[in-house]
Amino acid sequence: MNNEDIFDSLQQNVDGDSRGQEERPRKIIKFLVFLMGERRFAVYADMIREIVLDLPLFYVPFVPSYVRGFINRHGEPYTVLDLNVLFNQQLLESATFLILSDTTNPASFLISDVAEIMKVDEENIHMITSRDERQQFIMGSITDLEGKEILILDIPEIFKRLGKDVGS
Amino acid sequence: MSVPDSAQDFLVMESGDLTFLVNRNQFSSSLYIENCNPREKKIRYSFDTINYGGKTILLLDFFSHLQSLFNYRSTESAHLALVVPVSDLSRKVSDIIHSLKGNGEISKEYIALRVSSQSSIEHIHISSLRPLPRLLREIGLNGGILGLRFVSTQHVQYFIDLDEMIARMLEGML
Repeated sequence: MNNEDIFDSLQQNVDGDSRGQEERPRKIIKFLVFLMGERRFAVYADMIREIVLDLPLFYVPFVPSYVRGFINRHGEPYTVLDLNVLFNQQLLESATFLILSDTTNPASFLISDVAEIMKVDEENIHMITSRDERQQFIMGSITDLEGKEILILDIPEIFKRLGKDVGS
Repeated sequence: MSVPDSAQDFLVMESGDLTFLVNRNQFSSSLYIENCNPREKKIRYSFDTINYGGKTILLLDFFSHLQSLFNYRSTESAHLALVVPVSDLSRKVSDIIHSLKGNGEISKEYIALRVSSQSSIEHIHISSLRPLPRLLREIGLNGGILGLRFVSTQHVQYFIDLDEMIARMLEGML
């Protein structure tokens, strides 16, 4: 590449960047915020298909304690994960389920209640780059109107752990 | 071999709030337990014998095993025994059974499983059965849970594999 080509390339990059900044729309991400006990957690709203209440929970032996069993959703069994066991080693007493949208692994989270749907500017999502053991299932955080932090669950990481624990 | 509309006979065992399905092909006959011969107590399983066809065979308390495994209590009676030819069981289970029998008077041909008296044979469509959710499938299979059947939103029937269940039970006794 001669200097002329390099200069053209630089110019294109600069023009491209400035064009991008001008035209780039603000990206708003929707989160579902839920309560687990008194703590709030957020998940990307598009990862949740629906919220269901008061379904009987069916027990399965041989599984880790954070797998509470399964529920019957339209005749199909959905695994129920109790994140309170993963985070606090305590069973959550509830019958509210967040059904995940991934139909290849039908699963749900047991939660205390749904708090709100939050729309967050992409720039205000704080992703974490390194995690210690305690943050193993957290991918980042958002803040509410009062400036309080809400942790974002790393759902793929949770399923990775489950796969490891049940050997699938 | 999945034929969507094929149906098959299953033993439907009611126990507490739970129901278990067993493929009818996994046992040869059943009998009412009038008298069993108390033999030995090991861990939480009774290790009795009964008389079957003029022979003394081992009677495993499958009724208690299921309660322990699925974490429930049943107040129903359990006077029914399923008779299983040992030759129909896997090599692993057969070997364990042979190693259990130190006494020559116990037949090696059959074993019996004590189950809930609230049991009956039903013709069930295979298409009404579901495997466990994908994430739990392998661990369920390894423990002898082949699948399930929802009969209502409130009730599920667990489709269990006698061979694997007997293996687990016997391993727990050793």
